[in-house]
Amino acid sequence: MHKPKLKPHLWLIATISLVVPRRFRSGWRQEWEAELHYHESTLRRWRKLNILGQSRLLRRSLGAFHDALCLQPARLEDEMLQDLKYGSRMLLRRPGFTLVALTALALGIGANTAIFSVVNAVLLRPLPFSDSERIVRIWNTFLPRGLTQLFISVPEFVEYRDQARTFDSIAAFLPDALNLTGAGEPERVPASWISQRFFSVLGVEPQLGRSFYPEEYQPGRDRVVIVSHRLWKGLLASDPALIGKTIMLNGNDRTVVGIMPSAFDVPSEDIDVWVPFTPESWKTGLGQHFLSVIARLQPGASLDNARTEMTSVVAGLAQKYPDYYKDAAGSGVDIVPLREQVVGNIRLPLLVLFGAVCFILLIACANVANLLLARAEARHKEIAIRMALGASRLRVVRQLLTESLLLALLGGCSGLLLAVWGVRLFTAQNPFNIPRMRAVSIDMPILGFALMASFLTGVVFGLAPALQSSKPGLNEPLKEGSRGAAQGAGYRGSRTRSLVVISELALSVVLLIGAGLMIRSFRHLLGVNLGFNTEGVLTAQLSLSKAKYPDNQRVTAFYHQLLQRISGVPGVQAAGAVNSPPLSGDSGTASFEIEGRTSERESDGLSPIAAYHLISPDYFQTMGITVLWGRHFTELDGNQSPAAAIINQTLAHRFWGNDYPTGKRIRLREDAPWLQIIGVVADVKNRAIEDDARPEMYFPYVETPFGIGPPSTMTLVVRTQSDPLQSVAAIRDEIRAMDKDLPMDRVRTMARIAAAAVSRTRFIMFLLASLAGLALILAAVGVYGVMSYSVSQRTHEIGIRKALGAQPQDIIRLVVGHVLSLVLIGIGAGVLASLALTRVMSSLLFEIRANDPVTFVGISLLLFAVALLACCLPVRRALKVFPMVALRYE
Amino acid sequence: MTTRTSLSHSAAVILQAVSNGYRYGFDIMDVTGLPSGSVYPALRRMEQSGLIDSKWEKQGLAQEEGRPPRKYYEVTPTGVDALAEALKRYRLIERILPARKIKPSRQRG
Repeated sequence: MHKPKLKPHLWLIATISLVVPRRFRSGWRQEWEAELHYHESTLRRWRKLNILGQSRLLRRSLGAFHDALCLQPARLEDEMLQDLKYGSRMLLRRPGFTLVALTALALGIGANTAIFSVVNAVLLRPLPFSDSERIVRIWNTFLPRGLTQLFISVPEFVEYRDQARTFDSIAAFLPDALNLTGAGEPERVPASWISQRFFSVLGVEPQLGRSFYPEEYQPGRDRVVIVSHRLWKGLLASDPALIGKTIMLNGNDRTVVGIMPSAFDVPSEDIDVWVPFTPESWKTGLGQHFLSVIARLQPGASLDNARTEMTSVVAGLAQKYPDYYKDAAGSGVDIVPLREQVVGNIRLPLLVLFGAVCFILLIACANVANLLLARAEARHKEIAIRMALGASRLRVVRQLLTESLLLALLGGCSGLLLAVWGVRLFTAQNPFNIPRMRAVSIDMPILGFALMASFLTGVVFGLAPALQSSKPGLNEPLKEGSRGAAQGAGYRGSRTRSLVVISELALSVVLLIGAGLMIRSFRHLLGVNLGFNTEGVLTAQLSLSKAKYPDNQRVTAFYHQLLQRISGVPGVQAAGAVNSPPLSGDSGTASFEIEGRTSERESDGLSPIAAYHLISPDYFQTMGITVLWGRHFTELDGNQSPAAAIINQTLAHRFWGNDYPTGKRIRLREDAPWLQIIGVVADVKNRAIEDDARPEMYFPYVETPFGIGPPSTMTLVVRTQSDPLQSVAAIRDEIRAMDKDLPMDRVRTMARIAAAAVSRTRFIMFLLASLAGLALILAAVGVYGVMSYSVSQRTHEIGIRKALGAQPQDIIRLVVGHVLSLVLIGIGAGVLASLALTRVMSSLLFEIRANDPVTFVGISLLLFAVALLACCLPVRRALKVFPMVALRYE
Repeated sequence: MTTRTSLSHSAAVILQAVSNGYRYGFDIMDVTGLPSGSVYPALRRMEQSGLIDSKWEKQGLAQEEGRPPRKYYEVTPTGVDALAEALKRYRLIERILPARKIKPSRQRG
């Protein structure tokens, strides 16, 4: 090839060609040189190569610079493509490594994305109402007894509504259930009574039709109803002309005026009908607290403004009704943002789970980083050669990062599939009635999250190995013999790897301890004595309509007769009824006084109170509740004989110690008759399973002389010989024979109710335990990786030692010692971190402290054992080293 | 080809120049008056999108003249179509650019 003489413009081309991507360089240079040469010769031919001609030539050759610059994007594109190609080749060449890394990443990113989509929908996204942050719940409080979130009575509501100025609007509602008849089988549908302005507080209108007119809240004009989207689509068969038609609720015709949007879920997502009412028209007193109240703050008004104002409103009430408030000194009001009200309970479990999946992702990162570090060490020579050939450190890091990002993105894609599947599972099960679960979906923000998570993951696990292996001075391996090289570099790498293994172990310890605490809590919950026998008991709720059963006699007579009929059903052993069944959480409470001890006061100076239940005579036998002393109720207890009460063990113990309350009497009010205590029964978990036993009283379900009962809504409890669900049809027939319009609601076995009571703990335990199991596996793999690498690095050394007479135990000490110290440091760090972190979840635990030493020690031992196990294989390999082979080992 | 409608004016001028027989960079610069900074990148873009093709001059020929072999560009069929399309928009181009009269007989080598 012709060698051009060096002229200024050719110098320039030669220099500029350095920035041209290598792929184009020679062609580029040749083209420019030819052009300039030709130009020069043309100019010379025309004898014009004077200063002007020269400068023109130079100017033109400067155009080459622009040309070269224009080729730069091609260079980047080129190298990236090269990196990607090379990266995928490397991943394919080691399918085992790739598979392990991908699985770890997919699980980590998938679990993260799934939980984040729930966190996003439930905790982060605002409620679907306009200016939803201004919507609040108003509760009464009674701090002297430590009571918060008490319902509100009608006179209080009226006062709040008329006096408070910080609220734009304020409304009351009352969840209930109504019997829907006329559309096939009688059905009991969840309903909510709502006062005027309910919809304007929420800023929501029906999807079809209209909301109630103001006059429709007045008694007499209130035969209207708004139905849910679900009821419309379901029981009402999507009737397109539903608006304006009537449906039969609790024996009354009501005209449908509106259909709510499907996502509307206030007061809860199961409500099917909303019916109007005016609280004042329900002539109830200050002492009857049953209303739920929501309000919308004025624009610009703060929660504190509202709290201050409400405090003075309550003070006004106390002046207005001094008689009532002398016993209720200390009553107050609390205002809670609606969002807090809806998701407050679920925040902690969700955040704990989110923390757990973040830990899993970090552990997965650590694992993959470890694998990459090990591989990077194996690739030292390759990298050294590339750097020696002129690759910059940036270029090498970029190459390695491209590989790890490729891995992370592949992992992210598989993780996303897992997440979609997981979210579907999660929303379908909705294990402990997480509110707003319907809003959970994999949408753009979630995809963005998954992408970000994958990207960050790739950088996190890729950066350290990339920087590590591209450290300057790595041409050492080229100079030295390969053995020395591997050891020298291995030492540097092993410090990073040790750190990675330590953090991986520490993270696993935290997860394992969290899971361990949940498992122990769950076992404690299962071991709780419920106080009744759950096996073979069916429950169902009945609610008699006021229209058909206007007076107490008819209600009592109905239940009396029904229980007799059900007892006669084949397979039924016993039948009873109660107004508030065990584990239902709802029961009335009443203050009482003890004869001869009227000055008896609780430590807080208030009169003693107890929860009460209204039961049929056979209730205790049916439920298998033990009578510890005295007798059951009979049909005679109630009006006919002297009024009687049965109390629970806790109440008896509190006031009579270990004595039986023989001949003792209590009364609920000064003007009420004394009640003879005729029996003491074992404590029953009537409220939540986690709650301590509290004082409780049982009264006959007939009309009592103190104004409680008989309740129109009762829960039937039926003990059967075999599977309780097989008797449902027969029981339903008995009910229909007595009242064809009476639906059987909430048909469940007691065993299922008991299982549901622990479902929240079971669910958190299950998820945490699965995650912890995963962490354990990943940690074991991590330890195994470090261990087997260390053995393979020291094969030569082990060989020499053996040749010099080292015993197996010396070899074991040599190879295991280092790794075990890492394990111990990791476990120690994890235990310390757990001490700080598990406190967060103490409210999720049951009968176990967050720093429970048994769990901490047990988990540490478990992890230690697993780490030892992970060492076994590499140690066996070390012991099998033959000195001669090892000395030849390169 | 996607570039057919997006030919810029200067690209069309250059394409026309190539089609008129001005087959290497400096020649094109001379006839169009465009600076080398526009001509070369445009040539590379058009080559990438298949409007023009390039060939190296035969080695022997260049050696004879004691210079490095030159790179010649020529319009592909796609380029012909694109040029026709572009000329509908830039009607003056055809009139401004003269066709090359003397084709150096040896350039094909």
